[in-house]
Amino acid sequence: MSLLEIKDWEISYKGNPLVRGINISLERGHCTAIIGESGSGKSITASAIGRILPNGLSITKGSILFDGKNLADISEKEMREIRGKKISYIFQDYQGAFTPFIKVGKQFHETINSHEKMDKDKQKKLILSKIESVGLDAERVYNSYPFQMSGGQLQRCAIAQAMILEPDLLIADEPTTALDSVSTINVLQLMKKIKEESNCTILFISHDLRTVKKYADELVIMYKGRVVERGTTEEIVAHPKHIYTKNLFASIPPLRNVPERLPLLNIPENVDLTEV
Amino acid sequence: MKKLARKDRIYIIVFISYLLLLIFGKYFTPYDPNQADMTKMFASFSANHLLGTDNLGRDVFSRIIAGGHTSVFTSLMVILISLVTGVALGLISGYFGGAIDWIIMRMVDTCMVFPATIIAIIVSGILGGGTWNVIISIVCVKWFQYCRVSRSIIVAEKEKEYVMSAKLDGMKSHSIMFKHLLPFVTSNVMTLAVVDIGRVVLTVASLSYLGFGIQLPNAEWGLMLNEGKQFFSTHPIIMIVPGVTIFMSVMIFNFFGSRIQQMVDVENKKED
Repeated sequence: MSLLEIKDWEISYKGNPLVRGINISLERGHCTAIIGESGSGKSITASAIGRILPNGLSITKGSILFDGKNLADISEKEMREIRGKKISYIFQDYQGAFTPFIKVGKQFHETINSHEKMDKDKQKKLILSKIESVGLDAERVYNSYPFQMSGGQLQRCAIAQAMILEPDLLIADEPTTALDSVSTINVLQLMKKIKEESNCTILFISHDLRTVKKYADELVIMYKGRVVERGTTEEIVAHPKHIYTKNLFASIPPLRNVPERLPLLNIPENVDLTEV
Repeated sequence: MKKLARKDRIYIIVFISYLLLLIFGKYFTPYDPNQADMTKMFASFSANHLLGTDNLGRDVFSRIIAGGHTSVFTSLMVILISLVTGVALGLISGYFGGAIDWIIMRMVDTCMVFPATIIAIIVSGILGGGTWNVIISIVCVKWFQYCRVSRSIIVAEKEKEYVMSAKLDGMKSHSIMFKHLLPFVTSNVMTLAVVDIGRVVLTVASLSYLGFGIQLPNAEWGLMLNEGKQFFSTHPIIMIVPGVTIFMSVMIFNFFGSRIQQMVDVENKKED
């Protein structure tokens, strides 16, 4: 049984559907990547899973089953218990992941206290071990303010915080976009390690095709608020079916023999790209 | 931490010394401020009575010091209660939005429509005189300023990712409001509060002068002005002394308030 199953989903802004006909299922322990250009509805879909849609946006159709429970129907209190404990998020803006004037360690404590009753020493031990597991100097990070850390360190710390209660699902919304290439590799390898060690399901949102090709098990291609193609990574990379997917892969700049310019999108005029 | 400039250190020393004098001076007055002595009515300045005596032979210097305690205590209480009420309502209004926000903001708009002094006079007229009634009546015209400032900060801050991140960690709303958002509001409203002390001292004195504020036999600057007005033609000094004290106090509070405002203002920091 899938961990998360989105069926015939529609998200609207004041009655106008922005994202529609979304069908995604996330298998336990798999990493699924949603890819697509800016404005295709990737982040809205991710936000809607945690029911944190911006004002004015709402889920108008469909269901979302998480562990057999329809997240669209449960109360806010139940949802709050799921957030942080069963579903965690990592964002692109690592600076924004932590409140600037509260020490990192204290913010970890708050996350634990929101869900579990645990004595402080036990909490500290758990926090230090999690920080250490992401390759950081635990004591130093525990006593640091967010502004005393670099971008890569903060993002790894955000991952440690997201994983502190060992959630079933980790949603990573473009976690590497704002990082340099070395930090990007570190973060991606860390996510891979988490997936392998804790069997955590990862929903990875990105527009970096090279990254997702390497790390994701399944791909979901979105365009203009629709899922145009989905399947296993090998299948889609080897035989993309949808014309948009074909063009998307053709637009990856090669590392060797770089042409004078990248190929233009080659889409016939009479083709509706949102047709699945 | 950046060392304070010499000028700022002087401001802070003067302000704190003055505040301490007003708060604790009452316990060290040379005479009982309410002790009448008909044999010493209208005595002029002397070593025994630094600022002379009033129409009932009470020592004016002791009454000024005791009056300062009343003024400062009343003003600080007004600021404190307004701050707590205004910031709490501003936090709730800005964070939750929707109907709660609409109701609180309409309450603020309604309070803002009427001139502050008129509302304070009406409220203290209804409640009657007395220290706590004065405090309540001035709080009625002060809380909404803090509410508006807090709300505007929260409306901007709550959209930031760290708030979203706290929500996604499963934190409760009150936890997010008080632990993650309140510190952003505090620095801004504290500056506003320091600037406000002078104004509140003046309002307390005005209400007492008009007979709506602190009541006899308590010593209070506005009340002393009121008591002295019937002797103004013969003994103007009885009015001049509390008048000058009010002027000096408001000036000290305002100077300090504006300097604090300049110190925390980012634009001014660039020039420093």
